Amino acid sequence: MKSAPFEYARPTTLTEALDLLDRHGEDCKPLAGGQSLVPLLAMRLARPSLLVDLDRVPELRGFSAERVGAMATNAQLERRAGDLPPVIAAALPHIGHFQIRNRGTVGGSLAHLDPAGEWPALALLLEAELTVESKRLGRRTLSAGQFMRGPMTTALGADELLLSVSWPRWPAGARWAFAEVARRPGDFALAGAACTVIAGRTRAVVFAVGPLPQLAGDGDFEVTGDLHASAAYRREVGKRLLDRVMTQAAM
Amino acid sequence: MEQSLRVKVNGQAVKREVPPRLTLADFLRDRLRLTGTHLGCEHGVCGACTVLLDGDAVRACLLLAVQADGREVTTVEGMGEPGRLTPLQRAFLEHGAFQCGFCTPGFLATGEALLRSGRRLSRAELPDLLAGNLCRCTGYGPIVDAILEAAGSR
Amino acid sequence: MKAGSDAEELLVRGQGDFLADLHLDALEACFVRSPYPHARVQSISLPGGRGLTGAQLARLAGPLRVDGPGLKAVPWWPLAVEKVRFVGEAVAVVWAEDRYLAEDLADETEVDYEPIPAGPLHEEAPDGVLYESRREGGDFEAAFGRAARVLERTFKTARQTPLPLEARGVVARWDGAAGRLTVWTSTQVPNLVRTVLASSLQLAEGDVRVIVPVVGGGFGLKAHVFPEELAVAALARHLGRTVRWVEDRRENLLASAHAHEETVRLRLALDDQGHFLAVDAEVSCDVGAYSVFPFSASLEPVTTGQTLFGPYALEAFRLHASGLASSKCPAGAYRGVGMNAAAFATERMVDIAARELGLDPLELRRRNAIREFPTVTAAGRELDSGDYLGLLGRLDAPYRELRRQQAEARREGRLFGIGVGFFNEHSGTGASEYQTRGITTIPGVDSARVRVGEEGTIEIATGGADAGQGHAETYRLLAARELGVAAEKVVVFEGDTDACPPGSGTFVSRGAVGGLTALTEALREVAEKDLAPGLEVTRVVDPKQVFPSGAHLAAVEVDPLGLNPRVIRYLAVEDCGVVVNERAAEAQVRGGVAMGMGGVLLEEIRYSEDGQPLASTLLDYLVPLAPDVPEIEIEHQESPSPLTALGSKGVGEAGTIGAFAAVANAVADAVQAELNELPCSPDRIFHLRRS
Repeated sequence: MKSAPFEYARPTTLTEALDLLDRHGEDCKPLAGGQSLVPLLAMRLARPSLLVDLDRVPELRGFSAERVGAMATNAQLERRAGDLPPVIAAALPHIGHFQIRNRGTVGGSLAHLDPAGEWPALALLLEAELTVESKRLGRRTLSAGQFMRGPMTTALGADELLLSVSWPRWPAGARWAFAEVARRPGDFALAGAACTVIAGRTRAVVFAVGPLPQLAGDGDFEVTGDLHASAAYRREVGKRLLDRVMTQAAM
Repeated sequence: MEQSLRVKVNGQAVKREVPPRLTLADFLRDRLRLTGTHLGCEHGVCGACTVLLDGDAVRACLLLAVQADGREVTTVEGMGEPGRLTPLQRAFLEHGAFQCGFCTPGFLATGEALLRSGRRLSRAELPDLLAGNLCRCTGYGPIVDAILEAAGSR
Repeated sequence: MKAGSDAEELLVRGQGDFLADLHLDALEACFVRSPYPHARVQSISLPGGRGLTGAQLARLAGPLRVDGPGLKAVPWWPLAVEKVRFVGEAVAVVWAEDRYLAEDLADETEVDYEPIPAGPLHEEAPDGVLYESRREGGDFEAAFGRAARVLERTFKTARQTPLPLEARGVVARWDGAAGRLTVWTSTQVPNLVRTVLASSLQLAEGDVRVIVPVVGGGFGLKAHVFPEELAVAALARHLGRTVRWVEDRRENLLASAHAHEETVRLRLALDDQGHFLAVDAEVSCDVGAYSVFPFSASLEPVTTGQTLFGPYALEAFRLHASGLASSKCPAGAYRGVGMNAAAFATERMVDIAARELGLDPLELRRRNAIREFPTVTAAGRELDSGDYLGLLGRLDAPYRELRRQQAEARREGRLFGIGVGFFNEHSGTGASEYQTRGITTIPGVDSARVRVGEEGTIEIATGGADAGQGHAETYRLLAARELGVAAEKVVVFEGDTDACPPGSGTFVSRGAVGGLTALTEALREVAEKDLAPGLEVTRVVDPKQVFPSGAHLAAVEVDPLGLNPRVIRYLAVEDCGVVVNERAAEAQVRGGVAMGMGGVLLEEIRYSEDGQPLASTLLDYLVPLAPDVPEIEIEHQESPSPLTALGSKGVGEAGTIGAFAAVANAVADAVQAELNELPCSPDRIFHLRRS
């Protein structure tokens, strides 16, 4: 399981990075933490001719209570979990194992868009805005819903980079809950749900049950079956998790 | 085209030209002959390749060697010295925390990271923290015992 | 080759030399593998002359083949010659300076396949049956005639794979001047590898040397001789170079060896007192595309069939066992082999019978456990010794305590289940037994050589191979005891066919049977001769099977929301005869139980309808992690075997066999449903409770 050959660039500014993406487009892939990309390369399921390592691009780093740079790692967030909306802090320990979180980035998770991933669900739940940029279109902002097109499919053009994700300030008194079911700790969830109650308004999301995370306040959502769980299981357990988080958040 | 790589491995500065696709694991094993870091899956699940990167436990199979440029890597070979084992290594020996030994370097790296983190390790929580390392031989009990002992002796 | 306690320190320093760690200056080989389950290979276009096709390799190395009663002997060529029979079967081999470059060459190789949509895989087996046998013991008609009740159920175990953390690997070096082949391979069976290589490459056995490096787990997977070993050896001789192949995990999941895809249909005849009168068993195993070497397609049908209702007294027994071919990876040995499915099916049936009869499950077992030893069972097994009531008796108190906890848990609406796994198993199959079964591929003997060095060092060499069981520690302990020398003066060699006496390798837990008997006899002779310097004694033993046994108790809690089962308590009462090395024995039980938990709750390799494997990474093939395995309590009972020098029996597989029964019963008890198919996944539990 060794990657096919590729060239490697390590830009030190955002402009340089965007320039590379502009020139190489479909032939190149941005490299963030590598926790999702490197296995694909090793299995030769992805064969870019150029890897653009974003590690040294300062504009992608750092985070605050309402905005996380694409290259912030899950471990960095975990270390300052108290500064973030508590529903994020609750979700973080479920993301793989701590060794994966040491490298895996928020931007990487969102750009990879695994339907069982926690970050896409959180982005949808928190009504996040994703800032992307390319040389071709400049900087633009997408809602989570606009960003997520399908399983493993985002609205990102081949020449576009995800810069950051942000959400409204987490107000005092806001309530929340998060729950997921996985076969073993750290596995991708078989089903998951999360809920916020902000200024009297309830917002609930299910994830890992269908092709994308979905708003599910009315209890209705799309399900798919695969090797790990049938559609029927996901519908039932998704519903139970939804009930649980909505009950917990209401308390 | 090969890339220049400058990295500190087990305290020693190393400079090499490497192809970008060479993983850190293969760099350590094949270029530096540090074969203690083992390959069990090459897709980041089994943890046999766990090493410390600037003190953080990471999968060497999911890092390109070039990504370690300017950083410090610690492998199992960098633990202890000739004639002296670390408390964690000694605890592994005492508790029979390995049988075939293939997963052991990965567990030692994870264990070292946990011990250095200063976080309180309990019998109830430690197994969850070890979920990123697979062992097929021991049933894990002795590994948990060994790490707890090393934590207690700190 | 390991030698002494330094070996342990090497491992903890990361200095153990596993196959891929050896610096042997080799070319790296890579196999081109079929993406089709059943297809004709029309043509292969190899990049730049650095490859060989199946047809080319067939001139350099002969196929694997096992024959015997009930078997269809089908050849398994090192590389597919005319057609491929499972996804992952190798059709070509390429080589380069390193694996990265070799995979690039594999990528460039163009193979023209013509898929075969239907039809038998082997001409020799047009009905797909690779193995079939029938057996009957006792007066079957009479027993079923007397029955007050007949229970019938079908049980299914899932296709799994042993998954040692170190996958396979082999390095071969050809010395043209000496006409000698040296092979390093991560194997449990060095002598078998030598014999097969010699035969396949038409060399004298004396011209082949097999060396076993430090091995990162075997669990039965590495007890086979594989086509890749033949291919690499042939390639080394062909090129006059040293050639290496290191298996990656994807190959290991697709194309090494699988196990356990069995359907066991049982009919149990009982009288009105709950006594088991007779069993009618139909064991059907999906053995994949080829008959593995050396155990053949008969391995699981036979080992399951002969272990069913093992610890219970039966008047009569009837068995129809078969191994059926399919377009899947060939099935071979997985710790416990067919005994896992046998224990699962048997103990599930016993729990079901208990419920039907309104009897306590432990009581029903007590009522039917074999009481007298030695005895010959209706299935034809000669049980040497045991104390089965003693085993069950040890479960009494913890069992009643768990029932109390269960009552309380159920009042709280929790899904809390208790399962018993009561079993016996065979260990140490010898040459005579294999001959009786018509198996000629396994020598069946175990050997040990003890040499007294000039300075009083004791050198022990055996025909076994250590994959992590700690043989050296046990042998040194034994030598110290028998000879009165310090353990530090004892040096152990295993795994070099030039330096060690020939044996069968290590599988079917034979180390504690023939292995320790041979060693003990050799040590005693050395003791009798006063440890004369320069003295060398070799003993070769043809062991008779001896029968370890055990009674395991598992408590499982199933999360009512997600239906995820978790083992929260586990007690293994094991009887492996006289325990020689308690630490090593307990290590085997603990590891074995963890593996059995995986087999019941997590592990599965499914194939699609059209023969595509659906689990090709460790994200799909799940094995137990640290939080999945509770503390495993172990108690010993010793029923010495009269047939081994020390009274020891095997202990390497017991944990797995017992867990396949106890954990499955516990889950079924927790969800109060008949859970007769593995694995007990949340999804399966969900559907069971719905129906």
